[in-house]
Amino acid sequence: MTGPVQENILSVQGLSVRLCGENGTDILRSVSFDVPSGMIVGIVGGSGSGKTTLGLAVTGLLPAAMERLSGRIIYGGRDISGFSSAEMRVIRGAKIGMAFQEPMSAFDPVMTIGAQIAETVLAHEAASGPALRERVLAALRSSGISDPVRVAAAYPFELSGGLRQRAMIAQAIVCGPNLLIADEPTSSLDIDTQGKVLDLFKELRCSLGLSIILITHDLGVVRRTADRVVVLCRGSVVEQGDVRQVLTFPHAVYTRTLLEAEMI
Amino acid sequence: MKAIFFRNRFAVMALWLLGVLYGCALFADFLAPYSYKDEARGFSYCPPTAVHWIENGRLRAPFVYGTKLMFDEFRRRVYAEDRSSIYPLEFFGARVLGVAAPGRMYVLGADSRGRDILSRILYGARISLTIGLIGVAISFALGLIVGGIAGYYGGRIDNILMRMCEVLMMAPGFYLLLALRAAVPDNFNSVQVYFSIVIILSVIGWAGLARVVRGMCLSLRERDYVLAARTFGLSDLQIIVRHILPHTVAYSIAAVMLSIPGYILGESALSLIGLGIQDPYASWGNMLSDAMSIVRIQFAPWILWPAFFIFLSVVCFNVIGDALRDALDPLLKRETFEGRG
Repeated sequence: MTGPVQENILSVQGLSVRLCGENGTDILRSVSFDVPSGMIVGIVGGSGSGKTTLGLAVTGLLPAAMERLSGRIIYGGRDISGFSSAEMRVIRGAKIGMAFQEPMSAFDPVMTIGAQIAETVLAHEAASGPALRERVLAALRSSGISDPVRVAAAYPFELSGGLRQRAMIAQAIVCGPNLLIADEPTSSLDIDTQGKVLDLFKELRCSLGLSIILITHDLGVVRRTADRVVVLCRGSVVEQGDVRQVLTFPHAVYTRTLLEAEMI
Repeated sequence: MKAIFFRNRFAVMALWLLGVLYGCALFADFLAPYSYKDEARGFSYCPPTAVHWIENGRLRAPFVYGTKLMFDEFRRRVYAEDRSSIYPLEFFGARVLGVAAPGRMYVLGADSRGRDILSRILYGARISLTIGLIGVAISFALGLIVGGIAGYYGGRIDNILMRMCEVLMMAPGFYLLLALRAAVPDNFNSVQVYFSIVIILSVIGWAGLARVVRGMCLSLRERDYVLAARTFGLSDLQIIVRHILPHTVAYSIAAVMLSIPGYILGESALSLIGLGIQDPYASWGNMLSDAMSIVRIQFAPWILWPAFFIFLSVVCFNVIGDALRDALDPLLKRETFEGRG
């Protein structure tokens, strides 16, 4: 590759996670990968490959039943794996945003979308009144929602799946993070909406300078959106590299299996 | 939700009744014919006074006759009308109803010191009806906070808090009440006594709510939106207050309504045995302490009137609580009554 050497926004080095208990199974085995600044990195793997756990481990939100055995998570030049929960809270939402698979259940059903996005802003900075409202509407607008006022006043159940997912992304980017972790963001959407949401990710990368970790089981999604890909199999990285490279000339058996499965 | 509640006619009636009772308590200074401490020793256990319209066959403004105190063959007090003195009723003076001095009128009869029972019931409502509301507010807050924290954090914190609740719930309520009351200094003035009773009652009452709220929080904290809120950097307190506790309201509002009668009865029980509100201040419970002797009830049954008001308010709160529970949780009802078919 030509051009200046790209700085990594996130670098995961030798991350191992396993279930607590006497004969706890390993969920992640010495996982290492980099997220270069401004790139979309796809993390692919089948069910149980540990891709969701990986996302949670990066944000320090592992379930109580899991423990991090080793590994460093270097974000913005600092190892955040040893951060206290108070230190992590400052980073979460403000620096690292996260979007989930099921926007229906990821929104609190008793609060309006606008109130929940505003809440994210308020968790990190002091804002109020019209300024806060404008922040919320701007975030909704930049995630491609054409009538942000209506969406902000709506309850989650009043929106379509696509709109909800966009609102979810708006909540993730409202504080202007530079890394977005999207966990199966399109799995619950139809093909058409899927494409639009994926285009939105590409757009956001350019307009906001976001780096994105796209966690998915769908190779098509990765091929369409990501620049780099990390293939996870039962907690281990079996292959990683440039998307075209990996998906056209796969080395690992597992990657080939995934590709073949896609053909069916 | 509203529609389901208002479809329940009993609940609407109960709501009106309670509204009237609370209104009476609020305007007791105006509605009550006498002050709660207005004594007339010559009228001890005077029966309800008859109001007359007709004097010597002629219609006139309503009035009462004077009262003569006599003794029967068993040396018991008997009151008779003294037709020689006439005291006209006065409307909308300082109070809504009064009678020209020195005449006295007892709508519901008099107690041992000749104080008007109706007036004391109205003033007593201020204590008996508010103690439930304030007490429930305190124990509600305590129950939500403790239950929320225990359920959200789980583990050791949960263990400690829940064992605390169980210790509280293990002790028989009434004896715990007495023990706590005994711990309160006896030189308190009436306001201090009132608040110490409120606090004692709520200290006993929060554990049950905390336990149920904790159970709900245990399941609520696993919801995706709680994890989402954490990834957006919200603090635990914000998550508990904004995303977990609001989902327990349907249960807790009904639970609160259903627990208010317990406070009313608790205060009555304490006052009944003389440990609650002290004479001359009136509460429905301490008025009933007069009625602990069967002879007195036989002789002056009207001293039981406060019991009727306790009964009325307790039934009202229960009916409203039931209706609220049905309205807030329609699924529950359907499952128990219709889903069996």
